[in-house]
Amino acid sequence: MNKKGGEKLLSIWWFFILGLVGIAVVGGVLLFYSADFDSRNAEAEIIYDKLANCLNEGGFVDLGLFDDSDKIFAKCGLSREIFDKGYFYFRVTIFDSSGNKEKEISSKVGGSFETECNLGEHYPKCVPRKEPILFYKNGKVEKGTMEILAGSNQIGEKIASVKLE
Amino acid sequence: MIKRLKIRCKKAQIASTITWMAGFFIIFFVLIMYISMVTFLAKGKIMLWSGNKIQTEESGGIVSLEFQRALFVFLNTPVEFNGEKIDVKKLISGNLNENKEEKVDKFKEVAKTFIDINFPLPASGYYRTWIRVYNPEDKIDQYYYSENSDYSAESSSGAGSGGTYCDPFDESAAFSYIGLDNKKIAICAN
Repeated sequence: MNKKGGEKLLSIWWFFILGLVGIAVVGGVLLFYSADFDSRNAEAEIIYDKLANCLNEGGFVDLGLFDDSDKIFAKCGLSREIFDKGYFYFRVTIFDSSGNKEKEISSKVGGSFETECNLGEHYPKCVPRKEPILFYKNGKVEKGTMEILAGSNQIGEKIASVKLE
Repeated sequence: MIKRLKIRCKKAQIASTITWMAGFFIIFFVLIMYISMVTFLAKGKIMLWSGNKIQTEESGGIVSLEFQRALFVFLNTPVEFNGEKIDVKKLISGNLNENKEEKVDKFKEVAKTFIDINFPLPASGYYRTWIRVYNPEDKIDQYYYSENSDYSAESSSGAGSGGTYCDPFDESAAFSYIGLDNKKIAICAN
């Protein structure tokens, strides 16, 4: 007759279930939001579009911009500091109608960014493309091609490649 | 009295225990389903409609910036017409019916060269590119209904299921047009 109720023991079990559910909910949320996705291809394409739109003005490219990469950074609103860190890269080459190289400039001289392009999962993703352009040479309009190689090696961080003013 | 009664009447919570045992298994099963669903969603995390690959896309009928730049280059391309050095823009501005035959020939020659150099046909597959001049009220689509229909050049690798002309509203097509004078110049490639 002096049976003691199991209410106290059951409450321990109840808290255990509560803790299990809590851990599962927190774990699920962390699992979902910590899953990363690879946006390097998209970033490389955005850098390509930005450069192409800014360098090609009404079909013409100003070869004077190719004397110093700082001019391209300033004109296209790109952040030199971020590119110097090695997260992004670009190389712009101008060819004449015969395929001879007229001008070339890149965001960084030297380094292994370009040679590592698209080698694999943990290597930079690059987008090489070319477009028809016109440029002035010796006062005459010349037809040519502009080839832009844009690359991104930025995984997981949130940084802006564009200067915000 | 009440206190003694309380102690005497306490019974083991058999029913609750059994309920909780069954409940534990149900809750555990639901948690397993939840973790599985979250894992599935996390692995399949996408930004656009292309699986795990994120890419910028432009669907048909929307102007492509790349092709707009190509049109600017085309319009500024120097040409020699009737001994005068002008550009394509000047060639097609004004009255298109004036010196029509010579203008059409020159336009086709320059446009075809431009297409062949900058949009060469691959060895296999169906690819079509055209450059056309339209009036402002003309509808730009796959087929060419315009009184300026002589002012066009195209390059095609063959007739596919969509016909012989690039369709601006096809998802695989890149398209752009520019308003010039009282005309529209359009380019399409797929």
